[in-house]
This record gives sequence, C-alpha cells and structure tokens, in this order.
Amino acid sequence: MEERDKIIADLGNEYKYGFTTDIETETIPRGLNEDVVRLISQKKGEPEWLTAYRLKAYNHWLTMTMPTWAHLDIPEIDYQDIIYYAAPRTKPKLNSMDEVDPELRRTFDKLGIPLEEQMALSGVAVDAVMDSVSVKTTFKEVLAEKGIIFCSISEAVRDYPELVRKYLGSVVPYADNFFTALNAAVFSDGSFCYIPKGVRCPMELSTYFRINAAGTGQFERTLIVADEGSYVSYLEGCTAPQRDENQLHAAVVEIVVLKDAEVKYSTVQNWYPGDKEGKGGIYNFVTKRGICKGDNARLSWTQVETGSAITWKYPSCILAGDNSVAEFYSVAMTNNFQQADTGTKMIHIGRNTRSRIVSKGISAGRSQNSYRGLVRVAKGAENARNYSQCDSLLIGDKCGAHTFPYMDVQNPSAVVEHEATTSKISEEQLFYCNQRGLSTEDAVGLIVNGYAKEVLSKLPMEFAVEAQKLLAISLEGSVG
Amino acid sequence: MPAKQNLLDNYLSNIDIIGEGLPVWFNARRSDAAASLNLHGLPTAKQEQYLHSNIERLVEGEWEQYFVTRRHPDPTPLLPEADAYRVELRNGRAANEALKVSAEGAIYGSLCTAACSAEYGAIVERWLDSAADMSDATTALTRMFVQDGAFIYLPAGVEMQSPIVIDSAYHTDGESEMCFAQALVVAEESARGEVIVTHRSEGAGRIVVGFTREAIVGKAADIKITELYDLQQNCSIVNNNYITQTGKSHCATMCCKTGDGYVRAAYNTALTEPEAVSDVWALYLCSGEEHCDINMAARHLAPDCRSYSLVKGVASGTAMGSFAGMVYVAQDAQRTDAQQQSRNLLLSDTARIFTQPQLEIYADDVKCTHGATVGQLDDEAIYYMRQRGLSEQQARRLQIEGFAYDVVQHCGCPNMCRYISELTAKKLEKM
Amino acid sequence: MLSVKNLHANVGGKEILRGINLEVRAGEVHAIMGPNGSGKSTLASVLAGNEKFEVTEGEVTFCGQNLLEMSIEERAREGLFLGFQYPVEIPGVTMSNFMKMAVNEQRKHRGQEPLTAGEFLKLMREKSAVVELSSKLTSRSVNEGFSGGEKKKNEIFQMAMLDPKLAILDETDSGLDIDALRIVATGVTKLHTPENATVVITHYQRLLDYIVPDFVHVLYKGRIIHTGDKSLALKLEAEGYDWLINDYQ
Repeated sequence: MEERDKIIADLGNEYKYGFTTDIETETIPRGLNEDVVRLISQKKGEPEWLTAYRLKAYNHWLTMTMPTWAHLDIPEIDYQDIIYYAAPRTKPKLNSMDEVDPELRRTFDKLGIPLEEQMALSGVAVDAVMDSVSVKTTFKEVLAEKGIIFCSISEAVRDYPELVRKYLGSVVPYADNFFTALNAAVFSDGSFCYIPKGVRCPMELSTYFRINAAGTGQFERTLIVADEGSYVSYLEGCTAPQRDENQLHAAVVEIVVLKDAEVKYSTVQNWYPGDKEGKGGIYNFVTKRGICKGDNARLSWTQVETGSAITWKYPSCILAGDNSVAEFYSVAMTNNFQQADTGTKMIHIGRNTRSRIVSKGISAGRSQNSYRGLVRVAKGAENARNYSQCDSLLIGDKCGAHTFPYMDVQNPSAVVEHEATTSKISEEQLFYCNQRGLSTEDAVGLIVNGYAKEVLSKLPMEFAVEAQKLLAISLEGSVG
Repeated sequence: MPAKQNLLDNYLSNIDIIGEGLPVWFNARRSDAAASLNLHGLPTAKQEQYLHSNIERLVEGEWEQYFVTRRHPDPTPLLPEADAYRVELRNGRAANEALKVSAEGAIYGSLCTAACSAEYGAIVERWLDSAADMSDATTALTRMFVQDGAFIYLPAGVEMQSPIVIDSAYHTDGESEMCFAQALVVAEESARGEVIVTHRSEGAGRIVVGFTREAIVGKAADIKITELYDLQQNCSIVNNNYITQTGKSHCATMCCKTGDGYVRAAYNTALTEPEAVSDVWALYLCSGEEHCDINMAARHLAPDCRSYSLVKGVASGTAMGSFAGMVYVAQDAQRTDAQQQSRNLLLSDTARIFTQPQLEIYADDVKCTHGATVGQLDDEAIYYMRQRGLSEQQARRLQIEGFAYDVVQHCGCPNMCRYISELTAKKLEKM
Repeated sequence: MLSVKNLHANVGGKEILRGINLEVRAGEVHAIMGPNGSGKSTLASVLAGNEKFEVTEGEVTFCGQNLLEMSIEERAREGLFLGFQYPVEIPGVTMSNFMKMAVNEQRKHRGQEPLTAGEFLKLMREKSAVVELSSKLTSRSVNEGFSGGEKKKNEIFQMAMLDPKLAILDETDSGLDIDALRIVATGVTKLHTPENATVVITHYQRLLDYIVPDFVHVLYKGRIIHTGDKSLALKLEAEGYDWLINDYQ
C-alpha cells in the first residue's frame, strides 16, 4: 500500500497507472509482413488452419484503408513502426502463485488486480494479459469443476481447437473492418471463456490488459461462448504505462450467447490518455460484438471509458434469437486532448427483441466526445423495441460533445425511440456544494458521478468503486 | 460516360447560350460552381448527407437541351384566390419578365431581370450565393446551369399584408428534361412577410429539377416560408434551401411533401447574430415506391439564439423516408436553445424509415435536445375512437391526419393551409 | 337491455372475470363497487370489446343481440358507451372533427342523414353546456393537454353527444375535485332517462350521492358476490369490504 501511495505521489497523481514494469520482454522486430504473421503463429505453436486464417486476414488488410468517418482527428499511423509481438521472457508455466515473477506480481499489485490468494474472497477469476501474452489465469481448478473453460486464447487453441475453430471470427469476421483484419492477422493472445449448458458461473471472470513494452501494439482477442441456459459476468480492465509516444491497441471481442443464456460484459478502460498537452497516449481501436444467437438470450455491455488518447469503439449486439434482450450502458469521459467516438449498434433480427441504450458522455478540457449509435430493425423483426438515451455533459467551453444516432427501421411493428440532451454543471449546483464545504473539484466529481450513476450501478461492485474514482481522477485540472 | 462528365461537357458546350443576357459576375460565379462540381464530384452514398439519395442515378442519361426558352402550356392556376402576389416559374423561368412592386412596397419577379436591372442588380449581386454552400454538389450543379428564378425583395420596414407566391411548375411532354432555378429572398431590417413556394408538375416526360433558394433575413425581420412539393411521379426535385438570419430575426419554415415525385430537400439555417429564432416544420408522406430524403441543419454561430425543428414522416407500401438532422453549436454560441424532433410512422411491412438526428456541440452553456421515434399508430387511441363508433379504418385515418396536422397547421396563410390539408388527405387515401 | 350470463375473461392467460351475472334494464342505474383488482375495469373493457381481453365462457346480450360477436365500433353505434378511466390523448385530432365523425357514423348506422356543419355546431354548443365544458377545449386535440377533470368532463360531454342506450362509466369520479365531481355527476344525472341505463364503476360512495343507484353490486375476484340497494354503498363506505369477503369465503 505504501509503495503504491509513493508511486502515485511521484506521478503527481496524474496517471495513477503510469508505471512500467522492469521485466525482460521478448519482442520481434518492428513492422508487419507475411513473415511476421507466420512468426507470431509459429511462436505460439499454432495449428495450420489458424496460420492460414491469419494470412488470409493479413492479405485482406493490405487491401483496406483506415476508416475516416468517425468524428476523430487521427494522426497518420505507421503500421511498419509497431512491434507486433512482445512477451515477458520469463515464460509463465506456473503451478502456484508463488512462481509468478515477483516483478510481474508487483505490477499486478499496483494495478490492484486480485491475483493474490486473498482475492479468492472477492470471487474474481483473473486472466491477466500483459502486452500480448496471457500471464496467469487464476481459479482454473474451481472453474474446471463446473466445466467452465477460462484460459488464454493460445491455450484454448491448443486444448479446445474445435470450440475455437467453430466460433473464432463467427461474430466479427476478419474482413469486418480495417482493425479487425489487422487483429486477426497479428493477435497474440487474449482470453477464452466457455460456459457449458445450464451452468451459472459462480464468480466474476476478469481479464486485465496491460501494454508494457515500448513501441508495441496490443492486439488481444477475446472469445466468450455461453452455451444454452448458462450465465456469466465478465470484467475487463485496461491500463498502460505513461509514454510520450502513441501506442496502438486494436482488440477484438466476440461473444456468442446461445438459447436462454446470459452474458454481462463490463469494461473499465483506463489506457494512458496522454498528458495535458495531448502528448502520448493509446490509440484504442476496438471491435466488440456479441450475438444473441438463441431464443431468450441476453447480452449486456457496460463500459466506463476514461482512458486512451483516441477511442474508436462500438460494442454491438445482434439480436438474432426471438425474445432476445440487449443492453448497452456507457460512460465515456474525455479530458485534455482526448478524443472519443464511441457507441453501439443494435441489430434486431429475431422477433420480440428488445434493446436499451444509455450513453453518458462527459467532455472536459479540449476534448471531443461523440456518441455514435445505430439501431436497425430488420424486416422480419416483429415487435422490436428500442429505447436510447444519450446525454452529454460539457465541462468548460473548449470541448465538444456530439451525438450521431442512426435509426433504420424496416418493420412497422417496431417502436424505436431516441432522446438526447446536453447539459453543463450549473453555477448554482457548484455554489450549493461549495457552500456546504466541498471544494469545486470534489463537487464536480460528485456531480459527474451522480450524472453517470445509472451506468455505474450496472457494474459489478468492485468495478463500480474503481470506476467512480477513475472519473474523479480523470477530471482533475478540468475545473477552475 | 459518367454522369458528372456528361453534365460538365454539356455545360462547356453550351456555355454561351446558358449565360446569354446575364451579368458578367453572374456567369463568373457559374464557372466557379462548375469548378466546384468538377472538384467534389457528384455525391455518392459515402457522403453522409447523401446516404439515401442516389444523385448519380438521378442525373444520368440523355437530356434535352434545356437552355433554350420554350413556351409551355400554363398549368391550372394554383389557388383560386386573389389575395397574393405571384411569381410564376415555368420550368425554371419566370413566365413574366417584368419586376413588380406590391402595394406594401415589396419588389418581386424574375431573378434574371433583377440581376440585370440597374436598381436591384447590386442587391442580387450582394446576396445571391452568399448563403449557399457551393461545396455541396447539387447546389453547385444548380448554380452551374441556372438561368432564371424568382427574386423577392422586402426593403427595410416593409410589412406585407398578403403572401408572395412562387408558383414553380414543371412540364414536359415526352422528352427527358432538366430544369434549374434559383430563388432569392432578401428581407431587410424589420421587414415582415410570407413567402409560399409551390412545386408541381404536369406532362408525361421525365423531369429532374435543381432548385436552390436563399433567404437573407435582416435584423428583427420576420419571415414565414411555406413550401409545398406536389409533384407527379415522373418529376424529381433536389431542393437546397439556405437561410441566413441576423440579430433578433425570426424565420419560420413549413414544408410539406404531398406529391408522388421524388424529393430531396435540404433546409440549412445559419443563425449568425444573437437572439435569432428559427422554426422549421416538415412533413413527408411516402406511399408506393416513393422516396423522400430530408436534410435539416441548424447552425448556431452566435449566442442566445433559439432553433426548433419538427420533422414528421409517414411511409407505406415499399416507400422509404429518410431524415438527417444536425444541430451545430459553435464555440461562442453560448446559451443556445436548440430542439430537433423526428417523428415517424411506418405503415407497412415493406416500407422503411431511416432517421439520423445529430448534435455537434462546441459550447458548454447550451440547452440542446433531440429526439427521434419510429413507431406505428397508437392502439389505445384506435380503441378509444372505435368505442365512440368510428370504424378501425376511420380511426387510423384520423390518427394519421392528426399526426400530419401538427405540421400543416403551421402554414401562415389560411387558404394555403386548407389547400395543403386537402392534398394531405388525398395523399393519405393512397396510403 | 343488457344481460350478462356466466361471463369469464382472460388477459395474458390470467383469468380475471370468473362468472359474472348481471341484468340491466332500461331506466336503471347500477353501481359496481369492489376492492382494487377485483375486475371492475376488466368488466367494462370486455363489454366494450377491448381486444386485449379474451372471453372464454359465457354470454352477453345487448338489446337482444349477441354483444360478444360485435366489433368495438358496432357496439358503440348500437348505443354502448364506455367512459374511460384514463382517456387517451390523441395529438393532432381535434375534438370537433372527431366528434363529428363519431356522431355521423352513429347516425348512418341508424339510417339518419349526417348532420350539417351548422346543426353539428349547435349540438356541440348545447351538449358542452351539460358539463360546463369550455368551448376552447372542443377546438383542441382530443384530450391533449387536458387536466384530469377536463378529461372526465370531456367523457361525459361525448356521452351527451352520442346519447347512448347504455353508459358504462369506469371510475369517472377518480381524480376529481369536489366541484368537478358535482359537475360530472349532475351531468350524468341530467342525461338519465327512462329509456337508457347507466352502470357506474366506482370506489367511493360520494359519487352515489349524486347518481343514485337502483342496485349496488360488489365485485370480488371476478365474481359479483353481493347485490343490494343504495344503502349497501353507505355500509361499504363505513365498514369496508371485509365483512362481505369473509362471508364469501
């Protein structure tokens, strides 16, 4: 605890997680070509079909250009100046916690990842992905008793090739967009999770991502399959050290929810956002999509986005099964020079499907914050219902808050509603809080948390607390 | 040949005929517009404002020479009422070349005549193209070919008692024809008046209309604009409207698409000085295989302005209705109050509604809301009406009429309001 | 006039009415009371033909015709009026336009000529006086922006316009202040004749001070468990339903 406090003090409390870990990493040379793709596949000892899949994706990627439709000002990215693979050299083939590299463990301690024994109490099973390689998955045995598979995707490729082959790329095909093609070509690791028929996962599953090595990109891949009648709540956290350069993060998350199953996916994204002048920070180009494949399936995305220099992310749901239900709850906060273009897509295909979107944008400093969402009701989607609410809060007059909702309805029985409001923190509110003895910063933190409450309350307990703190920290220096 | 090249070639080979009798400055801007179109190209579905309008397909093909004045039979008079001043456009050209002065002191008539006149030439030169955005391809296209149109000038303090009607009719007997027209409305300080614009078509041939209207609303002026699209199925229109409002001005626009022809209409309002107020109401009714695409932008460029817009759409058959809205608030446009609502009714399994209300906000002390709904008729209301003895069909009709009436009632001129209501009812019969 | 025999009805698979028997003759006023959730409003809805409810058993005749085979509007045109507990707002549809259509549909049904605009306006003026409904309200959209009291007055106004044989008033007294209650109730009384009949559904005795019932029925769990005269309402007001429910069980 003391050490952590010290680190925070050293950093001037600007970016709490901005430390690097002094671990030897094994990296391959910068740049990308077919050989690099083959090398990654080979290093991971992958079967031929996966190597072929990667190469197909790579060749498709070559034909694509970066999307420019988002309300983002993206500097030129030199894809040949990125290291596509970096693994901690101390290969973690471990039997117990004690064998984990102490330096690495300290990193996770700093991150507050419950990799320790004591965390058994909080009931979180963690797969930590550092740079690109999965370090250690806790609670494997407890989960195994229920038949739940929770491991790194590399292990899954090795141990459960049928499952992986069946579902990998089934929700997000590699050709979906520029970044999914890139990810499919070079993904190095990530998490895999399978919940068998009728099983309720007894604990929250969690992945923690961290970019550590300089000049690397992170391209993890997450695949979750919830078989019929199962339930899982999945958490994802992200941090990266403070660096002057921009680092690329292009992840793909795929979720398959079968009949009567339910998946809750929560993200607290706190990649390094860059400094006050807008220098450095992560470029976060993520494709997340889930499919409610069977009838009565339920999928819920909750995200708290406070980090990254640029965020481009639209966790989406395909409501294919009849009576399926999807939700998207988002708090996106930008400060200083951060830019975010985030939202969701709800694609209604099955009958009697329902979706709900609650998006809360907060912009401060000179940041630009956009909500972009699509609600599509296909021809056969009888009785589809969607309700979207998108609110923006502006702090200061140098920032921007934008809302771009798209509604495309092809079935007359659908009811689709969208509402949006824009507001600011009023002088009266601040005065009232000041009068009761709160500092302006505390008051802003309080008001912002109140504003975001509807979304924060959807997060699992341990995450909700962290998210609240993050919101307050990220706002520092934006008022007064 | 690609449609763009075809148009540019046509322009270049007819440049002398097109610009004949018009001032040098007028034709110089024409060539600027051509350059802009050449640079930007025709819009594709990749451009968000044209996502649902295939302009390329609209303008491709062989077109009659449309630069030579030809007389067309006069269509039946629009409104059998006397209390209006009229500018009659036939395929884009004023039927009567003379400028007229109304009893209240407004000047109205042919745009071409006004541009060439000694008294008003300077006003046209000053304001024409001042609000329009030439980077918009269809605006540039119209500007490239335009030869005439309507000019309405309300000098400072003029208060109109009767509306000025721009009756724009399109006619072709068999050949495919393109027509272009531009309208300029200049309302000086504290002027008040109402402008009614009607688009209607007759004849058997295919017609594509490019229309651009600019309205310059001076300080504390109060202008009402009503626009009606009553086109036959073989007539398509691309209509770009630009309104520039200065301090404390008020401009209310109501537009209504009751005809069967394709309509792509853009209403862009720029609020450039404090305390300007803009209201826009729009209604589109699409049945059969029709398509209607409404774009609406309110640009708040100064503090303390207010804008309100309500766009209502009804689609049946295999029709498609699309709406793209934008509220833009510049950084120093503090205390903006902006509201944008899109309400849609989808009446059949094969119809489609696309709506996209957007906000782009760079100021923090603002009150901006937008909302969009797509739905169907209210079952409760239908039950209620049936309980009072109405048939289900009557109840449905009444409800749709009520839905439409919310927009139609904002027409300032009672006769026109009645006329639009009748057209609306007639259209609803088909839905 | 109305004869209900062993009426059973479901909503969403749940049985709400479980064998209702009720006879209403011309000139009579019936009150239906009962605790919340006993099925009072359901009974009104089923009689009006609300398609949300499914009749599973029983018969209903109205003026000699099988009511259950008739559509909602046929019932209305035959002279069955339902005063709604929560009248729906219909934006953009003016009261006068709506009423004109409703009155003329009914006239057509009876083989009468439609009213001319002048006759209709006269009728509107005359009937809006019955419930002291401001003429401003009749030029507005149906129920839109009306206060609770205005909505209820508007229901009685429409009843006056349509002159039904049987009026079923579903909680017409709820949400009314004492003045509005008086106006609404005296309006109903004024409309009562020996040729028509009224069924009032209410929670409170106070309405029955104005509209004196010939019969008071107590509905409980989808059945009429007790019928009495107007004194029953007073007793219920004083003692509640428990004594009846206990008896019944």
